[in-house]
Amino acid sequence: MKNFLEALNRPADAYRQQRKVVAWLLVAITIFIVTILDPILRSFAEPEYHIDVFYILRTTLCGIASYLLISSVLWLICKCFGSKIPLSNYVNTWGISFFPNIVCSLVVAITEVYFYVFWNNALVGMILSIVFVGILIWKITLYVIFLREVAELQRGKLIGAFILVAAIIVVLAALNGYVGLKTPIL
Amino acid sequence: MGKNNDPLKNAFDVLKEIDRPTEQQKDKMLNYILAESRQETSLRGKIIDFITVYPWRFAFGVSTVQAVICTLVFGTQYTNLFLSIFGG
Repeated sequence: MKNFLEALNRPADAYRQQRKVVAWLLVAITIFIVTILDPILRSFAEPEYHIDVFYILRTTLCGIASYLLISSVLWLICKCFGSKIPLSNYVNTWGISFFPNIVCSLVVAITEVYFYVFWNNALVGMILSIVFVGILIWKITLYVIFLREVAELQRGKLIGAFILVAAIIVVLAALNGYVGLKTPIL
Repeated sequence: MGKNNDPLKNAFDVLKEIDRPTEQQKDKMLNYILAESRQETSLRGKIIDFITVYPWRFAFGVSTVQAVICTLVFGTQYTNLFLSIFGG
């Protein structure tokens, strides 16, 4: 629990300590919510909806592949910008930035299934906009801290890597959506 | 007895050597200690500390401000925009 709180509140320290158990657990929770919890919620809300086990397995594998792919992309681009950190560090620490992904996947699952509750309700809509924009800012902050603490990039190299990886993340997010991962595992 | 001590002593010395941190590990430890003991007095340092420690606090704080302003300006058009993207 202490390690989780450290990853949540002091991500720079968690990155330095390379809490890989925390990292992988956060990734696993995100994938679980996106690929398993979402269909379960949908089956409760829509009686005619049937859970497709094969679809769940396929999206789970795609989620794991997506995480490994983004870790590799980060490693490759940071290496081009002079980082000497091995790939294993990226794979074992990028997951620490998955708290916003967990929150996003939960909120997406709930709003998609029960959207009629929120439609035209200004207060609830405002709360949702706070949550989604907050998640985006949170993830970007964790991403910058990651480039500084794990990839050990500074100033101009950090900015260059940030922009390049961000462009690739946008493409991969679209690809995630295409294969059925409503919250990108990135 | 003296001759028996030497291999034992060498074995213990080797074990001690393995325990010692490498140069790279020493650098990392030093940087970590310096980072922990550094007290930020500059405004830039304090802002960076505010953002990097409890980052969710900064993120949702900024998000709240933008949501309040945008909802006051655009009303339900702004809030429904999010729902149309995420809610289908």
